[in-house]
Amino acid sequence: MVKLVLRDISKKFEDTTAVDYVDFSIDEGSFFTFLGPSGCGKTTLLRMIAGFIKPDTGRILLRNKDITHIPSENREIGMVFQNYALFPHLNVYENIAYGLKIKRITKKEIGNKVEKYLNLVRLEGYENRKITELSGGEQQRVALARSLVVEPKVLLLDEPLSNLDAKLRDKMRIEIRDLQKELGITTIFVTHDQTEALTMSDKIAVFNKGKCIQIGTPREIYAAPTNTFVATFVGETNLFEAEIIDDEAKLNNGIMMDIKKSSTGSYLSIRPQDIKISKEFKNMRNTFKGKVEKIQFNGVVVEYIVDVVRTKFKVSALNNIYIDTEINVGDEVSILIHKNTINVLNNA
Amino acid sequence: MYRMITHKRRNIIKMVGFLTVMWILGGYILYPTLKTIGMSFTGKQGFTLLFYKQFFVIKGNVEALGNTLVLGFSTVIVCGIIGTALAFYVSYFNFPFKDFTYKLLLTPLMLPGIIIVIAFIQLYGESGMITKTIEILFGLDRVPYVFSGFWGIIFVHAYTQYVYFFMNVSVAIKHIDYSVIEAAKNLGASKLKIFTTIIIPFITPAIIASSIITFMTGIGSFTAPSLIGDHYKVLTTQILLAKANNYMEMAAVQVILLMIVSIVFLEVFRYYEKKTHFTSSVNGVGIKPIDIENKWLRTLFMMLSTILVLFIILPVLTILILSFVKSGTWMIEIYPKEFSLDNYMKIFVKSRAFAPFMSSINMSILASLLGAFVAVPCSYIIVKTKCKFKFIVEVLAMLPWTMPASAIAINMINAFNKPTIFSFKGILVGTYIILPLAYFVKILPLILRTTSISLYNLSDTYDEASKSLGASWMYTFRRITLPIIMPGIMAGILLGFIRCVGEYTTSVYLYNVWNKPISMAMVNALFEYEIGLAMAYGVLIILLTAIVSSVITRLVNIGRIQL
Repeated sequence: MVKLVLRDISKKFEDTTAVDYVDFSIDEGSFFTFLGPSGCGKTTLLRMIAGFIKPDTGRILLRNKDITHIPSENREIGMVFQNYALFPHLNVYENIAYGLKIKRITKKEIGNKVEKYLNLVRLEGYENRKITELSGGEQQRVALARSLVVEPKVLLLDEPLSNLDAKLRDKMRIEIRDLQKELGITTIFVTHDQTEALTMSDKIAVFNKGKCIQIGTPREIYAAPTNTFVATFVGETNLFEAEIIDDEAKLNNGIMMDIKKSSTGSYLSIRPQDIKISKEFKNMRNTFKGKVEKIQFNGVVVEYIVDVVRTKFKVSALNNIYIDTEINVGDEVSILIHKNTINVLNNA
Repeated sequence: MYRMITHKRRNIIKMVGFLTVMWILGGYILYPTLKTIGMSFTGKQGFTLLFYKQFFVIKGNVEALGNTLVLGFSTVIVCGIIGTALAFYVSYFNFPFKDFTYKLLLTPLMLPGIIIVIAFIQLYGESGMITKTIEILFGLDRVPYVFSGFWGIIFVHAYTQYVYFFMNVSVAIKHIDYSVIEAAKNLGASKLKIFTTIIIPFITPAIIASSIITFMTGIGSFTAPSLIGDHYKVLTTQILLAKANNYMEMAAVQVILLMIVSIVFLEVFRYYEKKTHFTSSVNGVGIKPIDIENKWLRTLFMMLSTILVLFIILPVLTILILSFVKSGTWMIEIYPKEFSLDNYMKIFVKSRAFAPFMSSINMSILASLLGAFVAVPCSYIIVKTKCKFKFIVEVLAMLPWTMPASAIAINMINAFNKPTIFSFKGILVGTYIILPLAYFVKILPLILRTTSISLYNLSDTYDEASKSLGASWMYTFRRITLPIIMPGIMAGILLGFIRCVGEYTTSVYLYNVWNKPISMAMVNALFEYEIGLAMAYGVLIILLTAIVSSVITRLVNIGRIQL
């Protein structure tokens, strides 16, 4: 079921186009991520959905109702801010109860609801704590509880994990996703971190320069990027300019590669882990001789830079019992690329 | 439909609030200023430049204009040297009782000018205690120095205004990132090179900012020139003279020239302030003060500190001691001999003596509250909205900052000696309200600054968070914005209160039987040789300001505002 529709939304700030005719919809109950580098327009779009900024063009529909001109306080859209924006003069209980007090419900009901959501975010007994007495992770949870307790139709999360340290971020990632599933609330998550996007989302919209350039499930985005920007922004890749002739591609250095039939575009994208590296040389299609220029070890994987006729290929292999430890810098090696793993793309 | 109505109602509330603020700014700041400008150009036959010509003809006016400028710049130079030197002294060296010395060095800022001038007269005046002591010690048959005229005024200015330099430069030195100095050393820079290329640029914005304040106070100074100026004429004293002769057109011309000087130099200073301003990258480690190892040097520093401390507390001590002098017992001797609590008894028992004390408190509270009432919406409009008129709001609310107190007083007289719509068809001159209104105009920029800083520090996301939880603009303002900036508002109110409670200049022009303030009571007592009574008033003001400032310090810490 379609819940939130963004139709031809655009926004300019003076001369810069922040959001450039964005048009897509978000399913009810899904965890939807806006992914892109800073300045790509994802936060502006989120703030337009929240009602803090008015779009120049387009409409926003929530459950078939046009909310474009409804003030933010009447939209029933909750938001968790990057810096949490917890009210410093109120304690944990008062922060969470803030939105409920506006709704004119009984004190007892407010108490029950606050308790329920405090339990949900696992902060039982924190009612009377001051905001300044909380750790970053605890503040994050209070912010979540505060926006969820009013039972909004949509929850917006604006880079909520960026202020946490790496370990806590991993933990909160799982916590937020579990909470979202449990409550079934439609959630829009803004991030520039591809790992967050890939691990948490039902769907991802990738943004660049104000445009939404690809929407898909994490797997689709990763495995089948539709242009060079997505291929390089989401995950690591080898990107080569190439001339496509039927089911073959000719790289700038002259080497020919088999590719999938009826591919169109002018770039090839090959993920480093899709390339097999070996000291043996078998005379096969898509097998090339090269020389190891660099080896980088980072624990889980080993990365090799292999020079094939002046073109560098990044190759990565899992560091496990099967890895060929005999490969050293300067060695002659062969690399094998399966044609199904080669994505032919257009420039973006 | 319901939404439309609430939306409309909200807009009406905003509109009414905005118009009220504009009415006050327009009625009590803009209109009086325009009245004075109008008066300076209006003769019996309409528009005329006669009064401007007259200004240059009447003896003493041009001299006073020149003196005013000389006084302004001399104040900047003298205070700049003293304040900056003290700032380096306190920031660079460790010496005993350093914290105490630092705090003490800030005290002159909190003392009303009138009290300092009176205390100085008692100490360094012709028959002052220090003057007489020197005479006796050295067996002189003449006064060793003349504590009046230009040098007397400069002496008072130096004491009262070095604090701006001291405070701002100390803060600037604190913000010098020591790693930058280490980087310079690492690159081979000499000590002199470091001083000229790192330390000077770092403190220049602070020096210029302090120069602005001291220059403005210097040219607008009235208390010192009027009480110890003697034959040294400045514009502020000329204004009072013109007013006393009921030559209001001339007073208007003098006020306008004074304001022009003030605005021109303000803009010049601000130009340089912008040019030299920069923000340092990261908050690194500050400069560590040095311990002085040399024994002799340490003794020297100790002595220096002691002299400083003595010099600063001497006026306060004098006031305190003299407040216990029995009236009529100290006429010919150098030092007073009989002490009692009579003066205090008189203030608290005699209603005529008590009235000025209460009057000052009441008027200061009134002015500060009105100040906050106007400053909060103004700073909200300036800081948090994209209102089309915010430029006008800012200019109007900050306008009094360029107006010396004498100018404010003359403007008020010109505007409200006739019925106007802003006075609801009444004549305000001669009524109680005229003085608190003038106080309000005088302190509005100060309160506006504190409330604006609080609002700048208030992240917009609180507002957005509140709205995303369903709160209206009014609810958000009441429950979120106001409580968070409350410490800033309170600090502003109290700062305003301190500025009003010992106020002298506008009081001279505007006080009457209904509102005689404590400063006037002090000066009157002095002229009636009731020195003890005058000093008892002084002690009460000092006590009041001391209590209020300690509350401000606490509020500033709570609100995390930098004043």
